[in-house]
Amino acid sequence: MDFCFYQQKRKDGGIRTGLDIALRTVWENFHTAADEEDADPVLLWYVDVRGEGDSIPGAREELREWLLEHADSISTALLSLSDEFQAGLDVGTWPASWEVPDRPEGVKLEIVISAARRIDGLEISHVLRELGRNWIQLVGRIPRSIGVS
Amino acid sequence: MAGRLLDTSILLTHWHGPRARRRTAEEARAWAEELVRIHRTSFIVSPVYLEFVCGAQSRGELMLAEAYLSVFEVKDNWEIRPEDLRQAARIARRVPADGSRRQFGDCLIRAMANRLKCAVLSFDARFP
Repeated sequence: MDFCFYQQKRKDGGIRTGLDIALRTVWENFHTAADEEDADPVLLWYVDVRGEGDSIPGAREELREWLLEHADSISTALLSLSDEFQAGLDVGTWPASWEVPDRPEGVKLEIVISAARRIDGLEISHVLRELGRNWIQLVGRIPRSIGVS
Repeated sequence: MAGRLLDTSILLTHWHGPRARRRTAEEARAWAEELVRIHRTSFIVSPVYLEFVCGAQSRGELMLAEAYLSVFEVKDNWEIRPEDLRQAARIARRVPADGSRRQFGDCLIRAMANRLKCAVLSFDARFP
């Protein structure tokens, strides 16, 4: 089974956080201050935590628990990557990915970052730091019952 | 699928990339699947399909382009609505401070993305 926990920011400031399992969205949350007139859907960046492996649960509730169970590994990787960006790492034209070092055996777990338009590495550093610090709260927002919020 | 929609600039940059393998229809499809894997989305809209096809310069290129495009999902189901055109016109009327021209296709893609509640991945700095 494979999943993607994502956060992405649009040019109009809208931020979408969500989870897909096997390319099917099972939870999403979208915040924007822009009204319909000013809606600008172009993406500035996205950060994905992607996982793939036989031991990864295919149901939302079980996956939510799995993500919480491995919260330490994931948030540590996000914070460590945040430090690297602070030190001057940049995002190129195509998405870049980093393996989460401390991951369960037989599981591919990676952080993927894309900025189709060049943005400051410091902004990505900040995003990764917030994701790392708030990982448990973010995953905790995924409801246990079926539906898209 | 994170509601990401690929615009023409993303497809073209990938199509012409240095590692591109697209000598046969099968290779072209596999190359497109690589892009879907990279961005974890297969969504495009019909103007993106048309813009891409318009770049073919021979029957052979057209065949490969269509094989490549067959991997993507045309999110609007080939349905451009009057409201898309009105919204695109509104976007086109916004003259940027630097006076740069807007492209018809880009205005339409943005309008359709808004209707379909998708975010657009684009390399085009002039995307309106």
